[in-house]
Amino acid sequence: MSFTSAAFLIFAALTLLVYYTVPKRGQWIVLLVASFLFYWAAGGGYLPFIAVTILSTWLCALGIRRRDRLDEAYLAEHKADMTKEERKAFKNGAKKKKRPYLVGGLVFNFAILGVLKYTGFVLGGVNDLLSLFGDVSVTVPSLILPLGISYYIFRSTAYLIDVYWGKTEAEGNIAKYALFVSFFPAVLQGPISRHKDLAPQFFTPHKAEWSNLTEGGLRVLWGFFKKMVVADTAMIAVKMIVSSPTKLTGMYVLFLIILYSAVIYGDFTGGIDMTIGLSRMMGLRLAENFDHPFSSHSTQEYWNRWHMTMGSYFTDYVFNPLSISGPMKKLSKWSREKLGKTVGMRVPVYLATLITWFLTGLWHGASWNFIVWGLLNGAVILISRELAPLYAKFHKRFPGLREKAVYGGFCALRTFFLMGSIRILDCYRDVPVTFKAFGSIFYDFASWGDLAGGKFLHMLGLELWQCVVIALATVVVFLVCHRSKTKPVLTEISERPWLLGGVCALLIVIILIFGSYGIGFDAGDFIYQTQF
Amino acid sequence: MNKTLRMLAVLLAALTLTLCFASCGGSKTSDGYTFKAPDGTEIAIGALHDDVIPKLGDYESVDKTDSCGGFKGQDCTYFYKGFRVYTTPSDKGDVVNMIELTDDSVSTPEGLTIGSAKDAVIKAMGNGTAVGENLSYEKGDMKLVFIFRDGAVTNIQYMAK
Amino acid sequence: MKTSNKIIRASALIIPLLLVVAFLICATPILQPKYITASPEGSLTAEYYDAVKETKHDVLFIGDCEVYESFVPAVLWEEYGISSYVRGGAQQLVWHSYYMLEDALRYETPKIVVFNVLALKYGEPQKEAYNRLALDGMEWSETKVGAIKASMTEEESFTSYVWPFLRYHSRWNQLTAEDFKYAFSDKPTVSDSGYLMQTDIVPATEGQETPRPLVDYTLPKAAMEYLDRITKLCGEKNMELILIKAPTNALAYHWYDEWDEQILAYAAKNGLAYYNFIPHAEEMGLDMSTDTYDKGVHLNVYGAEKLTRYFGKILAEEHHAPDRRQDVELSRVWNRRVAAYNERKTQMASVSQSKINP
Repeated sequence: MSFTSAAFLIFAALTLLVYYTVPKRGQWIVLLVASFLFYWAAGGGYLPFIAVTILSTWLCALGIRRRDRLDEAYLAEHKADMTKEERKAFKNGAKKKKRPYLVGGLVFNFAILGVLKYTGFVLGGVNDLLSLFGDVSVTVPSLILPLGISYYIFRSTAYLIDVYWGKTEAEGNIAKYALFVSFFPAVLQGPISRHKDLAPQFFTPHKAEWSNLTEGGLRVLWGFFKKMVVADTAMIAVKMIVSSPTKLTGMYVLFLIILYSAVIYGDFTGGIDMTIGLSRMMGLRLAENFDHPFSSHSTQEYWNRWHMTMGSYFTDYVFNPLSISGPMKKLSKWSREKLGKTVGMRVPVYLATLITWFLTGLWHGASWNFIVWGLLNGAVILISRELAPLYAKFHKRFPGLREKAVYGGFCALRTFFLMGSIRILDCYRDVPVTFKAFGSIFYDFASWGDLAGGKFLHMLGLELWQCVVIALATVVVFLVCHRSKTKPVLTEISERPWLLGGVCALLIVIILIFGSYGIGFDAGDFIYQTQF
Repeated sequence: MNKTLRMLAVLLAALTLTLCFASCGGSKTSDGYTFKAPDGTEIAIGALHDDVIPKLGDYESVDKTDSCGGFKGQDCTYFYKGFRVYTTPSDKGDVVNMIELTDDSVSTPEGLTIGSAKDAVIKAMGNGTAVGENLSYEKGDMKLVFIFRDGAVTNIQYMAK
Repeated sequence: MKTSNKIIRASALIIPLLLVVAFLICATPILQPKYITASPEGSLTAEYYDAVKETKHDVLFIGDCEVYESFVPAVLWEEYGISSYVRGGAQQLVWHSYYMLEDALRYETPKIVVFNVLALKYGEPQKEAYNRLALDGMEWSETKVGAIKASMTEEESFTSYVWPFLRYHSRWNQLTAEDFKYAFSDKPTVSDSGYLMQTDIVPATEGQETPRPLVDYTLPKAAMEYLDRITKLCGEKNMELILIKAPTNALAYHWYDEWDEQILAYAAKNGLAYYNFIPHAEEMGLDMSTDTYDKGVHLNVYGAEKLTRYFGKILAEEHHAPDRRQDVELSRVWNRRVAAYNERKTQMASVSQSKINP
C-alpha cells in the first residue's frame, strides 16, 4: 500500500475517523491495529519478522529493567554501609550483569538484518572470488526481505540501548511497545524516532484539534506535491539517463546530478512530510528528518540537516561509543606514541569516521555502490576537516567574505554538487559505470550540442511541459523552504482559513493534473520505502 | 605538519578510490543471449531499432503493420539473408523484440545453425526446457528457442520472455 | 471559539474543496478521449447502447478487428433481411468478447452469436490502451466490473476505470476542439451498427515470406477457458454460437493450421459450426489488390461487403437467421441505417479517391 495509492488514502482516512471516534484511552489500540493491518498489507510473510524483533527487544529491555530495579533496591538498602569505591564497584558490576541482555538483543536483531539483507551480497562477493579459481560457486539463497526492516530494527535497537543507558523507561506492555516499533506512517521510511520522545505521545489522549488536522493535512498535501509533481516527473529523465550510461554522457550526467537531487529530495522529504503530516493529524509530533539540507555550506552541515534521525542514530549509537571504546582508546594511545601527536590523534577519529560511514553506506543497501557512497562521504568530511586551517587562513585574508550572501550561495552550490556527484552512485548502482559517467562531464563536451533543438528533451524522455512543471515546482519548493527558515510557511498558511482552503484546493488540482501517476508515467514507490 | 596533512588527505583519497575499483564488477551490456549478424553487428533483444537497423545495412524487404486502434508506431519485420529482425514500438522508441534465423547462412555465436542436430544444440547450450520436440533457453529477460523437425534445427528465434 | 467563527473557518476550507470537486467533475469528460478522429475504435462499445435501444438484433458478432472491419450489418439487412450488430473492438481479447456478449444480454438475446477466433492466440492482456478502448465506453454494471477485473494489466488500477480522470489527467496538453465540443454533448457515430468503414485501397504485396514457426502451437488455456464460458453462456440462453476466422491472413497476424485444427476439434466436440474463410477467399470473390486498405491485414469496405454477402447466405440458409424485412417497424429502422451507411460510403470513398487523385 504505497502512500500515494488510493487504497492508502482511504485506509488513512478510516484510521483517523476511528481514532477520533473511539474513547480516548483506546486510541493507541486503533493505531496498533492499523499499523499491523498496514504491515500485513505490505506482505503477510513479513509479520513474523517484525514480531520477532518486537518480542526480542521487549524481553531484553525488560531484563535490563529487572536488573536495574534489583540493583537499585540493593543500593538503596545498602547505600549507607558502602564506601564510595564500593558503590562504584557495585555499579560497574551491575552494568556487567545487564550487559548480556543488551548484547544478546543487539546481536540477535542485527544478525537477522545481516542475514536477510546482506547474505546475497556477501555470497555474491564470495562467488566472484571463487570464480578466479575456476568454475566453482556457492548457491545464493533467495531470502525474504521484510519491508522497512532497516528502520524498525534501528528503532527497536535504539530503544534497547536507551533502556540500557537509562535514557528511557522500559515498556512493560508488549502491545504498547509493538505500536512504537510498527507505527504505520513511520514503519517503512522513518523518521527513526526515539522511544522517550514518541512513545509517551501514543498514550496521552488526543482531541481532534483543528490546527493539528489542518496543518497536518496541508503537510500531507505538500508531501504529495513534492513526490508526485517534482520527484516522479524528474525521475523519468533520471531513468533515461541511467539506462544509457555510455550514450548519455557529459552534459547529461551533469543534469543527472541536478535531477536526481530533485528526485531524492522530493521523494524522501515528500514521504517524510506525509508521515509527519499524517501523524500530526493524529496529534502526534514526530522527529523532523530534514532541516533545509540543500542550504548547507559544508558536507558536515549537510549531514546535520539531511536524514537527521539516521545521522543521529549513527552518531549516538556508533560513532560516539566507538570513539570512546576501550580498543579505540588503546589505539589512540598506541598511535600517539608510535606515530607522533599530529598523526596519532587523527588515527582513531579517521577510523571511527570511516567505520561509521562504511556502516551508513551498508545500511543504505547491500551493494558496493552504497558502501563506496558511504566511504566517499566520510572521506569528504575528513578532507574538509583537514583543510579547515587553510579555510581559516583564507578567511583571515578576506575578512567579511563569510557573511556575504554570494559566498554563502557559492558554498551551498558547491556542497549541493559535491553531494549530488556522490549521490549518483545510487542511480547507476554500479561503481565503475558511475565513475566513468562522472568523468565524462569533464571531457565529453560534444553532448552539449544536444541542447540545440529538441534532441535534449527527447533523449531525456521528457516533454517540454514536464520540464516547465519540474522547473516551476522546484522554484515553488525552493521559495517555500527558503521562507520557512524564518517562519514555517505551512503553519503560516494554516493559520489563515481562506488562504488554507485556497492553497489546499490549488495543491489538489496541481497534483492531480500535473502529478506523474497512472499509465505512461511508471511512477515508482518511494525510494526510501523500498530500498530498506 | 602541512606535509603530513596533505599526505593523509592523499592517502585517504587513494584508499577510497582503491576500494571503489576493488569493487569493479564490470559493466553489464546485455542480460540475455545476443545474436551476431554476419557483418559483426551484435543484436540484443530490447535494443533500440535505431541502434541496430541502420548498422545492418540494406535489407531484402520489410513488412510494416499498423496497430489496430490507430496507435502510433508500427510492428516491423526486416528481412535479411538468413535472418529476420522484428521491431515493435515501446516507450523508449521502436525496439527489437525478436530475431529469427531462417537458413544456414548465419549461425548463433555458439556456432549453431539451421540444420544443426539436437545433440549439437544440447552440447552447446545445455539441456534447456523442452516444449514438445523443441528446446527453449531462458536468460535474463529473453529466451532463445530452437525449433526442430526430425531431430534437426529448422528455425532459431531470439525473443523477449 | 465562537460558533460563527467556527462556521467561517470550516467554510473557508469546504468551499474551495467543493470548487475543486466541481472542477474535477467538469474536467473528467473533457479530458477523456473522444475517439472520433483518432482511434474511433474506442467509440464502438458505447455506440451499441443507442442501437439496441432502437431495435433488437438476431445476429451478434463478437471479436477483434476481424469482425468490425469484415462484416457489414447494412448489407446483411439489404441482402438477407437479417438484423445484426457487430460488437467488436480493436484487439478485443476473448475475455473482452465474453463480457461484450454478457453485456449485450442485458438488453437483448440474439439468436446467433458469431465469434472470430483469431484472438484466441492471446492468453493474457497485451496492452492497456486496448482495455481502455474496449471498456471506457461500457455502461456500468456487474458485467463491466467483471470485464475490468478480467482485463486489467498489472500496471492498471480499477480506480482509474471508476474515475477516468486518473488515467487521462495528463491529456490536458493534447486537448482539441473536439474534446470540448463533445465533452457534454452527444458524439457523432463512427460506425454503422458496429462496422467501422474503411474505403482506402492499399493492395497486399505479393510476399513469398513464410510465417515464423512457433515453439508451441497450443492455444493458451486462459483463452480457451473464456471460449468455454462463451459456449456455455450461449447454451444457457439458447443462442447458437458460430465460430469463424476472417479470410485475411497477413504475415503479422498469421492463422496457423495447428490452431485451426484445435478450433475444428473444439467445434466438433461442442457441436458448433466453424467457418475458416481463408481458403474460401477466392470463392467469395476477394481480390487483395482492391479489397484491403492496409496491404492485406484487414478488408476495406469492398472486401467486407463481399465477405458479408457470402456469410449472409450461410447465416440465412444453414443457420436460419430470420428475414425480418416484412417487419414494418424494423424496416424503418434498418432503412435509415442502410441510408446512413450508403451516405458514409459515398463520402468516405470520395475522400479516398481524392487521396489518389488530389
